[in-house]
Amino acid sequence: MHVLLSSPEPLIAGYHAVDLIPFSAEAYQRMLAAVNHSLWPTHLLSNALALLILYQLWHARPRVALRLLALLWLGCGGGYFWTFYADLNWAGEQMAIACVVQAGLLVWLASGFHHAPNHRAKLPGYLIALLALVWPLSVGLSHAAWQTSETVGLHADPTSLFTLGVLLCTRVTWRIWLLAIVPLAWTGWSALTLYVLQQSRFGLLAATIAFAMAVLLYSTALSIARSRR
Amino acid sequence: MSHSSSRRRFLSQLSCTLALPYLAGVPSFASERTSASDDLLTKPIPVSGERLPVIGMGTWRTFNVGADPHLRSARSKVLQRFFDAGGTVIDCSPMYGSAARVLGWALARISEPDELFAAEKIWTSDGSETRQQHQDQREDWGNPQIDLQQIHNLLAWEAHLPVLQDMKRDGVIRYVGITTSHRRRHADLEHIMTREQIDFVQLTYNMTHREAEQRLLPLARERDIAVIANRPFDGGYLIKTLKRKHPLPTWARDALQCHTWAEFLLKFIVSHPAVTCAIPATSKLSHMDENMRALRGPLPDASLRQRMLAHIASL
Repeated sequence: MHVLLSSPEPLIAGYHAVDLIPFSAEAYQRMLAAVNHSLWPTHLLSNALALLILYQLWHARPRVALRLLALLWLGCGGGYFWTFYADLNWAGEQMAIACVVQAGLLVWLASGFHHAPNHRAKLPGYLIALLALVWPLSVGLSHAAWQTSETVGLHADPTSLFTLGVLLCTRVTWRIWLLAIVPLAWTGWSALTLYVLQQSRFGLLAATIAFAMAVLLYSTALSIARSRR
Repeated sequence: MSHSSSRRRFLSQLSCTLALPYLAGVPSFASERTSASDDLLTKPIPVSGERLPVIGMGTWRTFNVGADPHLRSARSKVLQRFFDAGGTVIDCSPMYGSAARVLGWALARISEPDELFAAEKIWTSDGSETRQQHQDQREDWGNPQIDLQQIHNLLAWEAHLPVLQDMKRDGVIRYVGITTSHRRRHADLEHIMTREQIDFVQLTYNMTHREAEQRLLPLARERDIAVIANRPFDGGYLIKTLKRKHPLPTWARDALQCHTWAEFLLKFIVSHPAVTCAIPATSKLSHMDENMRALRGPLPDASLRQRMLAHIASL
């Protein structure tokens, strides 16, 4: 086999990364645009809801914030995954179900959450949540059409990032890890998608995931250390 | 495949032109020509003798465009160009998202898809879903006959294979096949090819991934199994790299009447005596034109194949 002309070795269980993404960049971009076209002006409502969630966090009411966050996941599951993404990827239906489960977990586990000890501890979480709110501007990185911009509550990437940000604004317990599974799994998959489709947004998404994971691990380690003292 | 009068006429011409070298069992490259009039390269399905054009069409990624009307319309033009150029074999899978539904939509909007040779795949770990998935696929395609039903990536093949063989006996499908795109499954595929009755295998074979030459392609010849070569451009990686960095050698134009790397790569694949057809996928009309040009003109003989390999190795 000629080394330079051969594709890279398989990534997972014999599958190349490109084997895992069943659609083209063009189809993906047009799907994102179709979500915006079909759901406008729900964007205003979902952004207002996201701001209300941040307001609740600022005023140390994480339980209310998490219950409101469940609404964004329901919107993402029904609007994005079930109606649009499932048309391109058979896994879309499973993701829609995962969104409903995530919403249920948010409501169910919300009562066990407490706010972080101070605003300084919440800072990384706020940063990620705010980044998710301005995620529509990230189309500028890939020189894509603004119609393909992604919004919290309507598209999966900013909804997942926003959720990670909100969770990092609460006191770290095992519940955070449970509620981080779906957003982390999705953003990981999405980063792979953007990588395969050679979208410039891959770098920003991967860096944000890495930052969120680092904060989560650090906060968990800190929490464990405190509990042992 | 629909048994239209044009198809019968076509096959009748072929049988006269090609019977002698084929029956003699000599793998002659000259035998790939169908007729002097259209100069279309075809090869026989060993188990039946039915001939297929050596270039088909894959649909992975390219036809998975959901309900997007603009992209559906664009794909129907690609499909029309495929048929216009003499193509018949189209391969799909439930793994490809909306590709089968888009194919069905496009087939209903183009002229003369009568020559369609529909190749689908069963892709479910539930061995009891074989017939239901087949029926769902027919509906997605717009109810043509599914000519070839394959087991995708060997998934639950022990359960699906007997059902598919029953379906073949009942005339629901015409051929049974099995596929893999992964080298690590070649031993399993060899096991199945040796012990089971199958008509087709689909595997990866291209100029930089020639592992199948060691055992699977000789075994296919020995067992009279037709071979569909997938990933002819290595998922696009190979042809993009070649197009970006290297000019086509001038000798390829003279010896093979190749004008593009696509023709060069495809002619290498389908010139292997065991390979029945290759299934490149594309969403671009210009690329479809390049692919389908490999359906005409000379195929390389053994020494020219060596020269092609040496050239690729030198890059």
